[in-house]
Amino acid sequence: MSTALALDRRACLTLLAVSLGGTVRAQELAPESVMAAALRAKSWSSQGIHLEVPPLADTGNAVPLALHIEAPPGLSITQIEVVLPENPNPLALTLQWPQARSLVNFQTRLRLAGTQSVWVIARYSDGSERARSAPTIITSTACLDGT
Amino acid sequence: MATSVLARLSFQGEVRAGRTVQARWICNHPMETGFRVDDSGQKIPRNIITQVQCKLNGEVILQVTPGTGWSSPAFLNFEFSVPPQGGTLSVHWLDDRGEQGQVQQNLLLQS
Amino acid sequence: MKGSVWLAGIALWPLMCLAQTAAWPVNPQTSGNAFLPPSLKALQADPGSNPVSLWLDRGEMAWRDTATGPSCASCHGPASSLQGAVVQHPRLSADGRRLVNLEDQILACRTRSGKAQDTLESEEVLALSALLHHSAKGLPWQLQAPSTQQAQWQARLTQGTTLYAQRMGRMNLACVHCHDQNIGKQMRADVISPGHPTGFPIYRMSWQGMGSIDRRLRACYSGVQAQLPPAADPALRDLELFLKVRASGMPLDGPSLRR
Repeated sequence: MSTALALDRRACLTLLAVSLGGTVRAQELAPESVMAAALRAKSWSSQGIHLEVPPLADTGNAVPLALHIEAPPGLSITQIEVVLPENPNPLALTLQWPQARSLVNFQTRLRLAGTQSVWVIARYSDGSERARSAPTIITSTACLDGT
Repeated sequence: MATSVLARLSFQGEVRAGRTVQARWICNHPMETGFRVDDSGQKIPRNIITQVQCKLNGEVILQVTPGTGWSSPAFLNFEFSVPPQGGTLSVHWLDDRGEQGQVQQNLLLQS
Repeated sequence: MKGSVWLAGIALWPLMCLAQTAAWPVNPQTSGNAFLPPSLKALQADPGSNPVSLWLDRGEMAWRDTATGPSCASCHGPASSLQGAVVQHPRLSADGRRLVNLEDQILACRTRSGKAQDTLESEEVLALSALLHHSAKGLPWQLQAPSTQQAQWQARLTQGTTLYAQRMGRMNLACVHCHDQNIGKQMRADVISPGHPTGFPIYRMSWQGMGSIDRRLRACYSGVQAQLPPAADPALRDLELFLKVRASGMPLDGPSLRR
């Protein structure tokens, strides 16, 4: 009787350990680069920055990016950097406005090496920076293309 | 000047003095990253656009410095204010090999 | 005012992406353009940002180029004058032994006028093909047997029809299995279309460039893990003839975008 109970308890504990281990393993399946972790760790304000990338992209070759950035009152936007932390060369674009603007609307297409968050870092006329990111999952067509 | 690299510049929105107009620039630059390998196993050398300057009546209003993470064909959609006298918007690019190109459009003020 | 329009557009973007999961067409007489996601449909509708536009510009330049011999324009006049010929390709060669498609013909013309280094997928050949197919936009395919070579033409069509239904590759699939029996089904990021040839040459996002029907058919062979036929293989021309006869009456879309 007691043996049966002990086995039951052991079976339950094993199941619990496996399920917890499974969760940890799922997180390890998608390690993020050092740069991505560093960007996330920085405590930036993202107010005024709106960026859109498709949550699911058909190809990594041309992922559309739409930016709408409003500078805080009294300041203007002098520079924007688009950073792709999982790319081999993470700094994808640097945009500079010689005549600083208080509002920027911008669209372009990026090459992403894989699933990642697209980061936009905006610098203002007082030297301050704000940033925001948006994740995108890169998919591809199913058929192997040998051409 | 690389004759095979073409670009198109177009506007969206009413071209009136003081109005904000969208400019669309697309350029057929290969944006060769330097990571690709050709059929014989040789690395294809990097050749990307290193600088794009958007000029309104000769004055730079936007400068773009791309890396290998920019798509091909290169595509920009940016806004600018139409000056009271109209004029010309031009987009100039320069690449790793020192080749350059430009495309321009006149701002014909609509009455 | 403008800012709120942008914000609204950005806010609606996720909804547009969700819209992709809506049902795809299942009608077999539908052009491949109907199977594009909203983002590519929008890109296709905007010449200011559509990659194909630059290929058309390149085609216009190549049509008039006299740098290495007579230009296409010097013999043919404007590209639009050849629109009738575009919808009649592939044509039977003079000896009736093989089919010649539009890219083969462009290549033959260019080789004859001194541009010997071109291949079927050379940028100039594709740009010219894009220009010519664009000039024939809206016209229906008009493939018919030449009166003096009916038997040979029919033989090529029969061969194409047979190939279309023939299983091949490690996956042991025939064209019918996807393009007739599973239209509208999703395969990772792609959606199975009926496989009509109305949008060629295509700007394929995964190629990040333009390609001919010859290349796309070869890509299908590799898709079912079959041995890749060489470029310009007669089997590919026979298949092309079959596909265009199957698409009889469907108007040309002109060079189109694909995933």
